[in-house]
Amino acid sequence: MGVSPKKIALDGIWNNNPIFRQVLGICSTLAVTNLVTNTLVMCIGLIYTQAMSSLTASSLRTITPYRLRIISSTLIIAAYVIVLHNVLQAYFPEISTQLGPYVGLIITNCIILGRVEAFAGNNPPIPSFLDGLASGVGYSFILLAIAVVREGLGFGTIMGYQLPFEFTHWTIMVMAPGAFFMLGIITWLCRWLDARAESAAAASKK
Amino acid sequence: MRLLKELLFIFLVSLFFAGLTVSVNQALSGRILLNEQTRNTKKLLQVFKIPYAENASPESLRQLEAKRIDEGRLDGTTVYRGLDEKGEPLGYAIPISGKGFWGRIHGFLSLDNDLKAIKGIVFTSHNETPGLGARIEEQWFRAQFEGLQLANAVRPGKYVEISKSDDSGKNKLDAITGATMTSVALEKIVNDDLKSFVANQDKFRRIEWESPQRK
Repeated sequence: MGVSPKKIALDGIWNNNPIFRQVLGICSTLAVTNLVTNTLVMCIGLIYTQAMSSLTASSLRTITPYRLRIISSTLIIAAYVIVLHNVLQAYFPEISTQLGPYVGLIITNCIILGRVEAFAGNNPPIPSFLDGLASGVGYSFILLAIAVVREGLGFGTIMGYQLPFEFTHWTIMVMAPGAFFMLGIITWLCRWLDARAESAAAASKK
Repeated sequence: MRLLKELLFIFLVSLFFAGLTVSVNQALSGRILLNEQTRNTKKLLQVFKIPYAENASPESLRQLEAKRIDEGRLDGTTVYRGLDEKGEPLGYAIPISGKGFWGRIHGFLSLDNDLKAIKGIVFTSHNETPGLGARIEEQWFRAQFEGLQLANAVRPGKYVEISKSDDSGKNKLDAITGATMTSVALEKIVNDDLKSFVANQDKFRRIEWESPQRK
């Protein structure tokens, strides 16, 4: 059980990144990334849900009957998402209306159930909480990278602020296909960086 | 025995998390309701072009609404009459709603005192794609509706057409690039609701208006 916090963080953020390694949570990657502000709120929501769900599921893991673990995980995740949804409605009504159904859809985000099942199910609460945070951050930085490019090229703005130069906006970046292209490019870029680091390490051993 | 244990476990877990969500909802529901009402009030003020401070408190907005907006009932739906500072009618507003691209679109459409021209349009809720269909909320798009004469219908029953504006003198508006489905859906919503409104005009003129009663 001795997984070091550093390894958990590195795994979640890079080595085992939910988006470009595990290719999970693609639905929200495609849906919310055309505006940076919406993406940011979505990411914060996901990090919170993932960390809390992993923590709770892990605390209950020794008393959870094996065949009921998915049911109880879903229940836990849904409860945290409903709480988040209510808090957004009460304190950030504008953002809540803009995000519409996406917040509720965090429940069905495969990353959450995936991490709860794969990690929190057989690790103690604190490492599970860290793993949740790390996976959430790994998800977030890829999403934000995609969102910055999509909003920048599609609208000529970043978080609603006009870019300092004028150009013809790429409408395709605002629509779903733009997200597919960006996701493909980013996955390729990250894996290429990985492969390069590996071959460099192999070369230095010789 | 094993089954009993499992049942007990799932019962307790459900009970705990249901309790958690219910209590959070209970604690926040007043605030959520107030947000919704404030939002609605702002939208009504907008559709009548009654100025208000963006950071006005919910209480002062409600007072403004009580002074400047009257309510009436038409076949079970609530309709509104806007008043100027002196209490003279500014125009009327009807709720509009219908199927958008992703979900239902709700809003208000206001008409002038003679019920012959559109004064404005606002949207209270929709689930259109952020950055595309959601741009129906933007000022430039909504401004296109202002001042359209119902007499300039594109053809009988089709009061507005949302595709491309031209100089034919008909009510043709520019659609949103990349949001054709939303534009088509909105066109249908506006035309359908206007059609049933025009058919009900005589009833509308007989409505008894009163200041809104809010708890």
